[in-house]
Amino acid sequence: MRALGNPDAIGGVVLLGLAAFYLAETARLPYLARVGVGEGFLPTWLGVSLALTAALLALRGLTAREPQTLSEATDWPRSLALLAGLAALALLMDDLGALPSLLLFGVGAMRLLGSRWPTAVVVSVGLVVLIALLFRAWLGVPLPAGPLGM
Amino acid sequence: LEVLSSLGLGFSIALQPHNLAFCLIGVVLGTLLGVLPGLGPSAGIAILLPVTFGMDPVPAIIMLAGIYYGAMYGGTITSVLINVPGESASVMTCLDGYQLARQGRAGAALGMAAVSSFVAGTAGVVALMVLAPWLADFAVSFGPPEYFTLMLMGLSTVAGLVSGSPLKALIMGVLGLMLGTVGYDVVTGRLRFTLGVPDLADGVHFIIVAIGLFGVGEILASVEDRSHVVHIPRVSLSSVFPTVADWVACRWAILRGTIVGFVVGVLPGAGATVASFLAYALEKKASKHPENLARALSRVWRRPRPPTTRRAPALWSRC
Repeated sequence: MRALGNPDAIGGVVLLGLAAFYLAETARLPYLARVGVGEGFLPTWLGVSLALTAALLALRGLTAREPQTLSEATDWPRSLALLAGLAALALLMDDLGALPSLLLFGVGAMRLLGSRWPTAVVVSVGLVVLIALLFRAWLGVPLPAGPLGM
Repeated sequence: LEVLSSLGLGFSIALQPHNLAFCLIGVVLGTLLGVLPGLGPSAGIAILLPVTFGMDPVPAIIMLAGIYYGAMYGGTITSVLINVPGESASVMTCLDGYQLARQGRAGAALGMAAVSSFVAGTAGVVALMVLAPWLADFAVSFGPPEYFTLMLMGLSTVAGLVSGSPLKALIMGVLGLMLGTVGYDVVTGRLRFTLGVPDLADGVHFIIVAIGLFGVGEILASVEDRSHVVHIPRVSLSSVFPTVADWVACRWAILRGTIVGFVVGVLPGAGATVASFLAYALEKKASKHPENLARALSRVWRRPRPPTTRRAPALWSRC
């Protein structure tokens, strides 16, 4: 099996980056208030805790005698494409409307999972109709309408 | 004695046929609503409250109670069948309930969850009525130090629940706390980490994170590993009813869960989610095979049959 990297080391570095970003945001918040602790108190300690544990994870990954490797069997392009699709769904839902964006995501996700075009379209349309009936018509949940009013 | 007579009067009213019918309607409606991800008991009550308008107070309250419990159970259904918690208290059900479903034992998991929930709920209500005066004093005496200790205990269960690396569990705990800091600070009322997005002012709700973790994780698992087959198990009605052996095997687990749920539930602010985490941690502690409750359960399963026809007793307490 071909080694694609050490997951602990990669995860540790990514988390270290997240901790750095979190601590940078925390630096704008006051650590102490006039009475008691400020809104930056807990985040500071959380950021430091994450940085320390992430460094430990990365170190453990790099110094392991038999380092784990990411499996070649994992379909990374499809996994990343699905994650990108989810992010796009969250970003576009307000502008495009909930139902059209869910329809696009449904078709795309089913195609990624190996479904044929007719199946993907029929199932996604059915799902969107069900969501519209259930949430919008019955429960009255105000889903984002978008330019098409859907 | 007065408490017992009050209890008797209450049960005599609640068990009248028309009140039971309203309870059944409430449970059915609540369950239908509860299976929708993100809609829990509170949302269920809020949405279905107009249904009770115009009704007499007693059947209306009974129906609302039915809606509440139905919605709670609806969350369990999705947890067991598709690994997506319907509401926050069913998150722990995903861990082993879904594994049981994948082994063809979804009926047993759903049946035992319903029965144990009914037993614990009934016992809790009766105990609350009997002990209410003393419990009120106890609950009011809970101050910030006690809540801090309770939260610390809840967080420390992360270490007990983890089956892999404790370091990664710790990191996940810290990440969860970090997500909890998004939105208004409860002490000062100022915004934190919203990045200019107004929707984040209310924070990141627990159930959204739970649904994302379990639901999206399951989808990604099926994409990543081509051999990973996702199947929604078929549940036959006969497999849902627990057998006598199930009752015997589950008695201590139900008792422990009842006590934990009652004690934690009495405290203002703790709630069902914390109770479910603590009860699960206690079961892992009590189990002989804490690393995998679902797998341990299968070892004590009687006469395994094909998934679609298996009558599956849930033998939790022997795990």
